[in-house]
Amino acid sequence: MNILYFLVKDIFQKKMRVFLTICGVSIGVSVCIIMLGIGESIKNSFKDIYGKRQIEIIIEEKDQLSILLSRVDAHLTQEIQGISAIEDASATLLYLHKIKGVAVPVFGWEENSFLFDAVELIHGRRPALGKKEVMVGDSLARSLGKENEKEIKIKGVSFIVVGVFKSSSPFEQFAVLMPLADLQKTIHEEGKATFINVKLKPQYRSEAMIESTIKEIERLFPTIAAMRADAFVSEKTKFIVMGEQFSFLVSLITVIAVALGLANTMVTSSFEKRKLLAILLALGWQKVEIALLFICESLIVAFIGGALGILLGFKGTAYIFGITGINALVPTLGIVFILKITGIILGSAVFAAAVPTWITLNSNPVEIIRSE
Amino acid sequence: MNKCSCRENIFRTVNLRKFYPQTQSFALRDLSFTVTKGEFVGIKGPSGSGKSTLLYLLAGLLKPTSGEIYFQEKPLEIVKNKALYRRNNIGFVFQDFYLYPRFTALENMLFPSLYQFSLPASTIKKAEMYLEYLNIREKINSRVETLSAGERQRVCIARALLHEPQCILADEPTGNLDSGNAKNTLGLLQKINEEHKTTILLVTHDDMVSHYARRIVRIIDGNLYNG
Repeated sequence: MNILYFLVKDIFQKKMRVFLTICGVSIGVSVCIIMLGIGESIKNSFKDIYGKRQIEIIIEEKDQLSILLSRVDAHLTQEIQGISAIEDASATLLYLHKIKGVAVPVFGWEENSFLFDAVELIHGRRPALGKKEVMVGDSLARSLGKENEKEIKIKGVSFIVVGVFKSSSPFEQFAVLMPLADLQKTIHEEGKATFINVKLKPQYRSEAMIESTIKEIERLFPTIAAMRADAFVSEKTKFIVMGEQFSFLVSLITVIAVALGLANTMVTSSFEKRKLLAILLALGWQKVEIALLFICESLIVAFIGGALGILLGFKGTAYIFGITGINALVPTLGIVFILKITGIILGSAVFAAAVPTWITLNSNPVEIIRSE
Repeated sequence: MNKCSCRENIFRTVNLRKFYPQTQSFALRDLSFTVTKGEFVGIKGPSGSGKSTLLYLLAGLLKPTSGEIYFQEKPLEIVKNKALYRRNNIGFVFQDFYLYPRFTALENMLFPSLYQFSLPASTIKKAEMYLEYLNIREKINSRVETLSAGERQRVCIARALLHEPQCILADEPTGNLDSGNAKNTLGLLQKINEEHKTTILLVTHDDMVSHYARRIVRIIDGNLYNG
């Protein structure tokens, strides 16, 4: 027999109240997850693309604000590879295409590009150059459905889906891949790339070497801009950061509302039980033990509400990605994010328990016992 | 007072005063009083005379305005952790029972012991034993809200006994009981006093207490009178 049994039994004596509190907590937590999760997912997706492939430098058109409008000469890759610090360079042409009303990224990659190393072919084969073939990410394949999985039309040209791949990047999971030259031809951008991915030799991967390589690239090719991959992600996801700040503010307000709701329940509960708590003090409970009792009670409610909220949050985030044009991204909320949310929930629970604890610790048990 | 008699004292108060600033009144005035181990003392007096204040002072729930309280000849003032002092030495029985109505008799008995988070089987057995001792074994799994007032008071006494205190402080335990149940409750307290040698201090208006307690004291206007 233990305290949890008593606490759970006691909490569920007031079914309606506990139900409403759990609803409040779970809605609050799910709102936090949705608000913070969208930005987190998009950022993770971008980070994965470069991090997994050890891409340190990205080359794009100089002074071009939008990545989609950036155009560099794809043939530069061969010249760039001549720089001693560089292990490999690979051009990417990115085009956004509408499939079933949703924007889907179409990547053109050079044949034998190291970019292929981070995708796993789970079905079929890689597309062959000049054959009007593509392969699609696993998530896109599933979303296309069986009837559409054989063929994709881009700019009026039909491409046969010859393979399905899996990528650690959710952005690529929802993408179409085809040989670079085929995409160039299809969108009439022959010889062009959106950006070039640069991988350095292991001994040149220090901060200083990356910076000096960037300078060397820019010196040799004045019409292009080279930047660190992480800076590239930060710059290209500026809108996400701004959105994240807004989301953080809304989440903070939500968390405060959740904590206050929980505190309200705890205060009500403590006022109902103040006589019994005074009796516990009279029977030899120490104030710290009473405080723990409140914290445990608050944690139980927060835990149930929080668990439901996390579930709702994930489903909600996935749903939002699903109904918006950015469903190229699916939520990838890592363990760190979950831990952050759990920390917020536990923090709220402790805050909620602090209020009745403070009231109890500052009450005179004799006055409470005698008050009736 | 010789050394031997000191050792037998469980409580001793010297010139104990309690002043309530809210009402600007003295609840106790220079009260000097001794309770020896194993005594059953009935404390009588009119409402507001200071009877309950004395119990709460002895339990360390209130601080005296002046004067000293000794527990087993040790000044209570120097006991830092009064909660542990109560837990280890004092059992409380209240007029209003203060039980969780939707919890069973056994759960109500055990709940105050849950400061240790988990209870060993031996504590549960002991609780069952005390419920049997107080003749409510058959109500062990009944919700308190279904019990009669007399049965509730027995659960309250069993709860006080569970940690085997040296002393039970009973504040008007018969106040909410009819005369039959009041007799039973007083009889049980007498039985506990005789069989367990537990010291009992019982505050009451009830004249019946003189048939059960070994000693009766009266508090009138904060002053103590014997008999």
